[in-house]
Amino acid sequence: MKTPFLTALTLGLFTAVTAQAQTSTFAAEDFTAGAYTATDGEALYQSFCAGCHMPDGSGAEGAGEYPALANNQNLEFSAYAAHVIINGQGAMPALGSFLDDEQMVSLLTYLQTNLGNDYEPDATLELVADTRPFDPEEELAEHEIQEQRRMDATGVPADIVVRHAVPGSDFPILSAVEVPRDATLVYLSGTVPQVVDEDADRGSADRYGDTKAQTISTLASIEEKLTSLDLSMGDVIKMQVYLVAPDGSETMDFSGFMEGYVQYFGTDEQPNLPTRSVFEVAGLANPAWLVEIEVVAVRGE
Amino acid sequence: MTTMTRRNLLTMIGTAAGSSAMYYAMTTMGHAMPSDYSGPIKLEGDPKGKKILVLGAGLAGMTAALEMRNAGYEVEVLEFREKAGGRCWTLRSGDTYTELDGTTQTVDFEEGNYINPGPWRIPHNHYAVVDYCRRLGVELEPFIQTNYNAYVHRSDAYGGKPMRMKEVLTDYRGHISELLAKAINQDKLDDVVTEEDKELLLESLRSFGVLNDENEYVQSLQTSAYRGYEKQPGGGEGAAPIPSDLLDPSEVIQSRLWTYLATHETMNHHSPMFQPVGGMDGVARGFEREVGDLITYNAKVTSLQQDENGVTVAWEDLAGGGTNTSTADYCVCTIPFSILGQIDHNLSGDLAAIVGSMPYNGSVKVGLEFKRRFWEQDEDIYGGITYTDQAITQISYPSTGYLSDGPAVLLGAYTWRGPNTFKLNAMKPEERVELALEMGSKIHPQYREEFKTGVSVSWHKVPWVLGCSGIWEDRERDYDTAIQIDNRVVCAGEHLSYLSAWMEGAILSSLDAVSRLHAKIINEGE
Repeated sequence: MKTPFLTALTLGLFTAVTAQAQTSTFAAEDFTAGAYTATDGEALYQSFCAGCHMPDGSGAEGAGEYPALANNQNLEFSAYAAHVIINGQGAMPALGSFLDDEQMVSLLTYLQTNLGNDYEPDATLELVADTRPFDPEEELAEHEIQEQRRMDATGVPADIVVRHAVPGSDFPILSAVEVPRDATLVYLSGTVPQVVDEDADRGSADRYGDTKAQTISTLASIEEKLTSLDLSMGDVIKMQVYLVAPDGSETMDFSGFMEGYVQYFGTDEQPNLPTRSVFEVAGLANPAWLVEIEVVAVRGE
Repeated sequence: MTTMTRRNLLTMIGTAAGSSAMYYAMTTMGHAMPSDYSGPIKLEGDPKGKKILVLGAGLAGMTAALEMRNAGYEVEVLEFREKAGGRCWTLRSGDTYTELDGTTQTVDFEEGNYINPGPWRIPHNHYAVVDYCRRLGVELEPFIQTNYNAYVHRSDAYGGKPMRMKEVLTDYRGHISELLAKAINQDKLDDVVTEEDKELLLESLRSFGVLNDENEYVQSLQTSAYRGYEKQPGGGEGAAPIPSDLLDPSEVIQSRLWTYLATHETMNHHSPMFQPVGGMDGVARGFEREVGDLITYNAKVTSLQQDENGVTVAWEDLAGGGTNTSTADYCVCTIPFSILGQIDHNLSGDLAAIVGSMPYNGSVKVGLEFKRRFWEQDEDIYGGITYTDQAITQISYPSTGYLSDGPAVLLGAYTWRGPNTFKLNAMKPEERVELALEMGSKIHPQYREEFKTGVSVSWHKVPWVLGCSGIWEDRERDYDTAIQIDNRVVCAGEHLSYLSAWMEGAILSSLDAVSRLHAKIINEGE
């Protein structure tokens, strides 16, 4: 499980070429792989940990200090070091994503039996795996994708819509959605706001309310249309939103739209999210309309 | 032209459209503004004879000292180093620098040459930094971020040959535009493009992508005017220009060199960018001219304690020896959390927890001095940055001293987090220099022949900060707690901003902290 900041930086930047990392002795090949490829505990220590903790494990002191790993009683049991390396501690970043489980075991074994430490090495693959952080959302997403692939592989038509959340964000839209090949797509025409104040003059802003009110009444209309087609808001996979800047404002009222939107999507009752685009347009068919929304729904989920 | 797969096209368009759409939404909600600086702060009201102790004489600390003294406070500043500026730092000829492991480098650059190990460029939209430079008389000059004649390079693209950015940029744009124009003309985009927009869109693609009247991107004098000619237009006999060949569309996509084009377009890299004349520490010197008289140097803080009566700080005198105590009514603490977390303090539990759990990322820079400006003389590259997929990630050419004879210094490596940063951190400075030469030679074969001397800084090994910049475990959750005034102490610095690792973040954090502290003091009943 990678922490987000490391994932962003290690993604696709380097070519995967097998290279044997060595100790701190310079070797350009060590860098062609980007990630750590060494499996030897000493090589890993010298090219990774030694920068701060020093090649002999003596630590270092400046305005603050890097603790000594030499003759360090905290290494008697590897669980502690495993936790610190994987999850970080204090000013030390979480480094678990740089090393796989085997590399972690090699490194922990090196630490327990070198640098003046003489402990019975007790690191195992299970210990390392159990120490890695658990991210329920990521697990779920992985599970869904695997589910989809499994069904494809066995030749059975995949019959589920796979919704990809926006990585590292809780912004309530999808980054992508996969629709099974035999699904029926249902396109709704652009839907516009309903009158919320019958007494207001025709063409006046009050007649349809502000952007938030118009968003809510528009989505209510869409929900009605979907219901009449035996669909629900949860079946919506794609949405295009057209917003007009309200009188006196230079830009569209995006936050007003969002306040209405989140009443229909990503709620406890209706957790599904669509992919979505929002456009600011100069005007709609009725000058009092600030909102028009198109959706695509999928049948047979 | 050869075919490009639909997936390639969709990925490109999706990336472009998605990010711009997201950015627009974000600015609308006020999250991605360049800087919230709105001019010099005015701390009005009676400071009641109070004393402020500022810990750290980096930009955050010196901003606090300057503004609090102007407001009428008594101010004392303690600084670990022998000079002010913190990470706003320049290494120049004759300087020595000792890394944590005791390795000392003496900078052997020619007089006037320098490298900025920390911040090295100032976005014009970092309004606070620019304004302080104006007020403090710090002379700025243009920093060249984008140079169309610099290279983009990947070891696995074009046989490892560095490519001029202008060629890749123009061809990438041209081929995409041609594809889009085709899709429009084949009615493939009818559900997203209205009939009346179609013509206009095609017209814009002809302009954007330098397409001909048939909406094709082809070899021509027109496209050469963007990507460069086979032979440039001249004067006199045989002066007519000859157009250059285009890169194959599929190969442009496959090369992934387009990944380097977007950096220049982010707000933090928009032209113009600036640098202080003579080195980034010009900013530090500007502040120091104002507040240097308040600073005690070589003071290693060992304890920070507060109670209902005031703040007491114990510090070691690294120059003269012995332990001293400073007291004050309030404290602005700009010590990086990587250090503060190891100091004996009695900050409140919630804040203490954040102080103790902020990792600091690493970053490595290598400055290389060459006997001559071969990048200018042989390759017509004046300033700007070459990007590469090698561990050095980039080569930045000096934005000053153009056309001059004699040695010049370029930035030969700049890593930011990631495994390579740790690998470089575990190496000796001379090994990092060697690596930068080895990798840089792939782009500039003159490297070995022209190399004179080099210097390298790995931020995890910088004794006074132990890292490059703070990383939040969970900024959304912790930010408001971390910036609160904790009784008599308020923390400030780049780590307590949304502009991490930028000088602007340090200054804005400090301005906000002292404004709140001042408001608290003048409103307190006595």
